[in-house]
Amino acid sequence: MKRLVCRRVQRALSRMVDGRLTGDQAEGVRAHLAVCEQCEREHAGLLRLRAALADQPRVEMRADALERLQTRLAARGRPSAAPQIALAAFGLVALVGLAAGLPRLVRPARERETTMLAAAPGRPDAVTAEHRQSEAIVPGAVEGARVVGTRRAEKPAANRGQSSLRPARAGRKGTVPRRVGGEAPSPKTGAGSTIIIVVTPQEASCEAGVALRMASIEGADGRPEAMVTMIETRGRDGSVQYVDYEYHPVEPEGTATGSASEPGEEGMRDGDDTQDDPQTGTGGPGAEFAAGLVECGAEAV
Amino acid sequence: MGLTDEARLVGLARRGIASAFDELFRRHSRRVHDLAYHMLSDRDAADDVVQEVFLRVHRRLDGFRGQCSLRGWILRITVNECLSQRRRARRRQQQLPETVVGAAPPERRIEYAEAARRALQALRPVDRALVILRDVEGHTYEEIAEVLRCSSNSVGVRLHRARKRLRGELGRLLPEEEGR
Repeated sequence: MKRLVCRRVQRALSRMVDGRLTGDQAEGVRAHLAVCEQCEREHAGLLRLRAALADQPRVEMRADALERLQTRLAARGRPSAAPQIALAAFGLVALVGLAAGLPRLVRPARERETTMLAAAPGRPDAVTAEHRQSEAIVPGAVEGARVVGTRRAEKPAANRGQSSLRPARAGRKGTVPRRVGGEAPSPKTGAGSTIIIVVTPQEASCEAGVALRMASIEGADGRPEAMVTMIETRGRDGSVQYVDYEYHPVEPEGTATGSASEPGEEGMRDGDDTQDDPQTGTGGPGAEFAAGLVECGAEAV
Repeated sequence: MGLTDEARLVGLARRGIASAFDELFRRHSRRVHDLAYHMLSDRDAADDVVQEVFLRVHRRLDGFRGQCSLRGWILRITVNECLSQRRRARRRQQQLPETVVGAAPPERRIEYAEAARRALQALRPVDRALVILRDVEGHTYEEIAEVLRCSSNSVGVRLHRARKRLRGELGRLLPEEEGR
């Protein structure tokens, strides 16, 4: 009889050390261990075995493992990073070209983010420290950017000729063209416009938090009418916590303050959109929010 | 790491975004390497497994339907690749290294850990994977069940048997252990 009990207990020991027994079951086993030397010896041996296995040494992976893999993938036909960057850069320049007169958009990605975030007019309560932290892992380069879709929409009716950034209600969806692929409606565009959504690299690397998107809006005649830049913050469950967007109308040729075909000189200059620049301290509570993000971003750089 | 985020990464990697695939590599390669190292007891072989596994992941990503977790899927590929490596190694009649590279814990623990490592080699490869996933890598029964495509009950039963066998091997390698 005792041997039968011992066999059952010893079968249960493995689960017990893994914490898979219920409280009652574990108590029963422990009661038996207290009176059975053989089973207790088995139990102790099992614990020693687990400790020895947990003590197995770890070795580091080769530091160049990813590079080796990239080389092998490239040999198999995967496009290397360089053409992707070139493609992304081309796409970005093309978009920026459409948006003549928008000097802030012809800046390097990091600076552009800074400017845009600084313009936030209200502090989004839903944005937590966790999100800010996640901004720090967002690279500022344009690697991976690409056009993912187009949509016919209506012409911009309201806010034409203005530059505004408005907070959407936390968790509210559909306030801006936020779906990748451009199927979502835009409140700021009217019939005859085309939205091109460009997914920035944050799509690929942002674990949770801030994603930036840009849309070029063209009129029915194909001329660029505006650029929309969007900020999305996401919780780790994927829910949209806060959405902002900025609408930049494209001035007709000749009235633009900067030339998109020569983006470097004009666009890179600091202070050409000082109204909401965090460095000027005039951005109100939004600037506070922005400053937090920008600070993290600066650390990442 | 959010699941939604990972699904998005997979989607981007499928569309050929190299940086998304690289990010998947960064997230999962360490686990692959650890599992492969403990399965094969050979650092170079583990490095090779990492390469092969992610080449395979890259090739098969289109076929990944998301019915199991990405991690489980990758670890399953890893186990299979380790089994293939062992078969190839056996054909070449290579010997497993006798020494272990790693940090130096107290004297007895080294001896036990080394004995456990050698005892592991006596298990059937699938049982070895099971013990490594549980006792070395700390996966749950459910995660192991996903990797090995069996039920979590089956994991418990097989784990019990494999540990019993390991205890026997340890007793053979450490005579004092048998008497304890």
